[in-house]
Amino acid sequence: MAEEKAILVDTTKCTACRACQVACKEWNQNPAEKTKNRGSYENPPTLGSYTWMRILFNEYYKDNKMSWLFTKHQCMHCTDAACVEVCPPNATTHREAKLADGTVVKSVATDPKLCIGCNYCRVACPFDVPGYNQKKKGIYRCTLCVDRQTGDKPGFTVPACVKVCAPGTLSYGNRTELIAKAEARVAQLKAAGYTKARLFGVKELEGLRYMYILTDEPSAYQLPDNPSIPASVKVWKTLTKPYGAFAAGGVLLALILNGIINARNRGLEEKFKLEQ
Amino acid sequence: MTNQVQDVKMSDCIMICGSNAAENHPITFKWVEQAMNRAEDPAKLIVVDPRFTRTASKADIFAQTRPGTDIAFFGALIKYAIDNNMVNWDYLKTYTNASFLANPGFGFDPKTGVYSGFSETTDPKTGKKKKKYDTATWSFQMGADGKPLKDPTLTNPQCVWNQMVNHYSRYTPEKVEQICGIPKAKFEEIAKAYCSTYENGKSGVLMYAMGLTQHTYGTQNIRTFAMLQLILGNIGMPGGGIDALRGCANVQGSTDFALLFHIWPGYNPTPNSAKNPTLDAYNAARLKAVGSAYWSNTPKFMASYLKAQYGDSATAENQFGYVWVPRIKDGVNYSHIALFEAMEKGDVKGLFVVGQNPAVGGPNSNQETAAMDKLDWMVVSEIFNHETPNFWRRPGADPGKIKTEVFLLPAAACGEYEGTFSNTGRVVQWFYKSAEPKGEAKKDVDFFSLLQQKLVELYKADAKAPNRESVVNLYWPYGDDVNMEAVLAEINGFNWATKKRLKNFTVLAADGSTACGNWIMSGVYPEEPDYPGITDPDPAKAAAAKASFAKTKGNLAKRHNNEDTGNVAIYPKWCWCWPVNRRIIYNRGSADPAGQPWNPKKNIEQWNGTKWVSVDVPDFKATDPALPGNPPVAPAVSAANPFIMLNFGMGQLFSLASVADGPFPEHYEPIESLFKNEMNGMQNDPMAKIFSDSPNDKLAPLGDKKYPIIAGTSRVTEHFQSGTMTRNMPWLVEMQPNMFVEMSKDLADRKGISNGDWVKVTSIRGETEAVAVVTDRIQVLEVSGQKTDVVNMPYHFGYMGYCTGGPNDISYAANQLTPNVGDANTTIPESKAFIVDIEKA
Repeated sequence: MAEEKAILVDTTKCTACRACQVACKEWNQNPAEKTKNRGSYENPPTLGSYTWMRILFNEYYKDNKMSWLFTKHQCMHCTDAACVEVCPPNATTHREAKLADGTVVKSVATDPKLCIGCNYCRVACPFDVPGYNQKKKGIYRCTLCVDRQTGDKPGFTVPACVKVCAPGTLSYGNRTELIAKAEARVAQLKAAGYTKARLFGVKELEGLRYMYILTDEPSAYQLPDNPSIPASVKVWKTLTKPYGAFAAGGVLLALILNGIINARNRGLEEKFKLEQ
Repeated sequence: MTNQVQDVKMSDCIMICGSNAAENHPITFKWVEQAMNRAEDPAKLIVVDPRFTRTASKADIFAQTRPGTDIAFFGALIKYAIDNNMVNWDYLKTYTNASFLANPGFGFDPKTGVYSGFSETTDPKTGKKKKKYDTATWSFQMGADGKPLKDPTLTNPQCVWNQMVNHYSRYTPEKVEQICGIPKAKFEEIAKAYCSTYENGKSGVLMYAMGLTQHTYGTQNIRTFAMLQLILGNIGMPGGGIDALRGCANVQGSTDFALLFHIWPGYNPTPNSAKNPTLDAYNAARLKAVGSAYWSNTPKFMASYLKAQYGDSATAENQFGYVWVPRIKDGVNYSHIALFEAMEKGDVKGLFVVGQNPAVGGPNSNQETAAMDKLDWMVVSEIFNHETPNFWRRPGADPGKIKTEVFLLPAAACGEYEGTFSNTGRVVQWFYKSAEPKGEAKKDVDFFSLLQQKLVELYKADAKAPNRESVVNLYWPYGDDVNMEAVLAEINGFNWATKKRLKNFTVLAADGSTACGNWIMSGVYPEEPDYPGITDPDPAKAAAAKASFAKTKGNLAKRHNNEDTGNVAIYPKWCWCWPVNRRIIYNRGSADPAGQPWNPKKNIEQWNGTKWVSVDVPDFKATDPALPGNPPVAPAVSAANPFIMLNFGMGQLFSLASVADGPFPEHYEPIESLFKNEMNGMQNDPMAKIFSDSPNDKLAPLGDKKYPIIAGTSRVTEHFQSGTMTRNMPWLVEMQPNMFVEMSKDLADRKGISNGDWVKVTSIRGETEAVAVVTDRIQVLEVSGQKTDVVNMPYHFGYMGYCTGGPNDISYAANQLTPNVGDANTTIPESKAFIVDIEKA
């Protein structure tokens, strides 16, 4: 099997400068959202169709000791991806792009032409990621900068967020090499007294394309301690999806229902903006 | 910086005080993290700050301190090092003035809180009190040979060492707890970690920014730390030194080029028209004031600078045009605050504003905008239309009553022209043009060049114009579209007759045969390839150096070779560093008196028995240029003169009269404070610059009950300075959209404020509104047994642009609240400690 590419997030080095957050918007030409300070540095308040990654600020004050943990939050591009499993029209799929060095980039993406806007993926995602865009009619998320990695745009190779990371939090490379590097770092952290240091994302959901070096439980970083696909999704997958013809009929039904769903989505998409 | 940015990775302990490096110097902080994540002996990071910042989130040890109490804290570190024998004795005895005998009349009285020579008089006309020091006793006992008397055993009670030990004997951990609010155990944890860098071969560095300087005793804050570094033997060491993190990309360059009123390019003090009537008088005064033989070179620097200024008109007969350059009138302060005070009085009629936004960023900004009302004209050259050219329509102003004529010109943005940046580590780096300026936008230098040409034309036509020679004689042959490399050639210096660029400042002459715009920059753009490497005995290396030189045509600021020669983070071929490409200044301190590095892994200068082997450019006499063949000079010579530019060649534990408020720093309270000074009998720094002429110059009295909260200002990663650029960038505004104030949960509870509420923050001078960020990152401090609240606000917001900071038609500038009081030596405003009140808006 070809070696695949991944991104390692060493949260111990992150200073939340958010250059990655701006670089993501800049590369993908996503517009700024109208936000307000809600008593935190964290903004925009959620991921969405115009915000594909953001930094989470997690404050903890325990035993007279302050800690401020930062999480880079975006689509994890799971191997066992709930959004792919649940998608009725198969708009969300696993993609694979071959690179010149013989490795591959595996990612999860949604074809906006096939997306019916049911938003099942948003409900099913254990990381609360996909963002639906009413205007563009589709689900949008981190692309892993596949367009940079494949060399489609000359002069760019490394994903935008990794490229701008000054403190060395983000590294991009071959997955097995990143895992080896991360394990050495975890050992160094443990020796330095971080007893809870761990690597997150190697086994979770059969492997995430973003892996995290943490010094505490994942929940301290607003990551699920044991990410899993909801049971209902599994039921959907085993019972409904095999009946292709039925599903095709379902698509027809879905198209009829599309208007109703879209009307609901208008509310979902604009929800936090209305809160402003 | 004494060292350079990358050098931080060589450190064993990094203390960040009064700087939020991770947020405001993210690239510098990368090297902090490299030191901390080293596989072998990782460095420790200590952060001392009034609040827990993104920098603190990475610290091994964090202590929350009360704003404005750093001297109490640093002084206690000095005492800790002394009490625990954590002193690099070889370094201290050989390289500092510890053994010099102080004048027997010198002293400090803790009861009165002043040094010897203090007097206070009242002006009978104005009733204003004037405080003064006669600094005659701030001196050494001199021998018949003109050198200070010494006691190498350090037993004489008059020697600097014992005077200093005695001075800081009051600075106990208990006092730190009482004054700063740092618990004794926390202080001792920090002191033990930092002072352990006294060990031979270890190095510790202080990184600081405006959190230390923007105080009425800002200079003394830094001096206290410099003294600690000398005691621990950390100056001159890789991974050591004192690292100022400058506030913006080229502020080092602007200081090097005398953006400030009190210096000329290259840090020669601005002449005083009464004290230095002639160039000879100036040169003599300079040599006497610094007391180091090095400054016998002053006439060369001055003549070459004046030659660059006035060209053919500058001759030996007319003192090279010395009297044409504006000089300081005795006793007049021309600093930023003083200028705006003079403007409000009507003494200043016109104002050029280039790359600055004083209506938001100036101290006491309501005073500054009121002063602008009095101007006849204002010219602003900017990339965005910001608050300053619109001062006349600020919230609350009546445009109909303001007669100032405002001219707003479009400036070219960075990237639309080329030139150099001098980074915070003195590295001069060439940057390239990547796009044409839009419309009629011009680079700043072109604007000034056009203005200069027009002024020369007007002055030439008017034979009776005042100061006519100052203008018509200017040498500035660069035209409408200035070639920045040609200007760099003038800065580097050239032979006036042949116009050949000079090697460096060692060949400057005092007779007018050389011109040099800034002596410290000389060597950045030499004509002949004779910099290190060209003469390497290895033909391959010499050829590579020649090829590199040819590639940049001698402009060394264009070099991009990141080879770490010697594996000590020196990078000598990366751009160019002033002076003479020296990366660590005072680097004699990296080796012991016999010339052996304190640590073989931090070897930048070593005496091999017959000559010096150097990775960095020696900052001491390594060879003798006066003798044929430039023979090596044995280490004993430089050990006796390790700080060649300083008084008597020594590191200065005792600063003589060069610092206005005393030879040893002493703790005073901020001008606005809730607390009585617990360290001595004087509440405030007696030499602090306090301005009182404007109606906006109000100061809250000690412990004013109306303002029970201590406040300070700061910056965030997402915005820059007054926000002119960043508040017009939607991607940045999205992340930090509003003016905010950070406060403790306890304070918010007492005030009935919830996280995210809009609140009103008020000082005696002004008020603004802000979103309450209620957080554990600020805790209630216990100071002198009293619960003490501290809050903090960014100063990025205002009333113009894509984002002003809030929804209302008001100014969101934090500096409406800060006072016009300045440091005793530099007049930098005290923005980091003042008092306010907060209520729900």
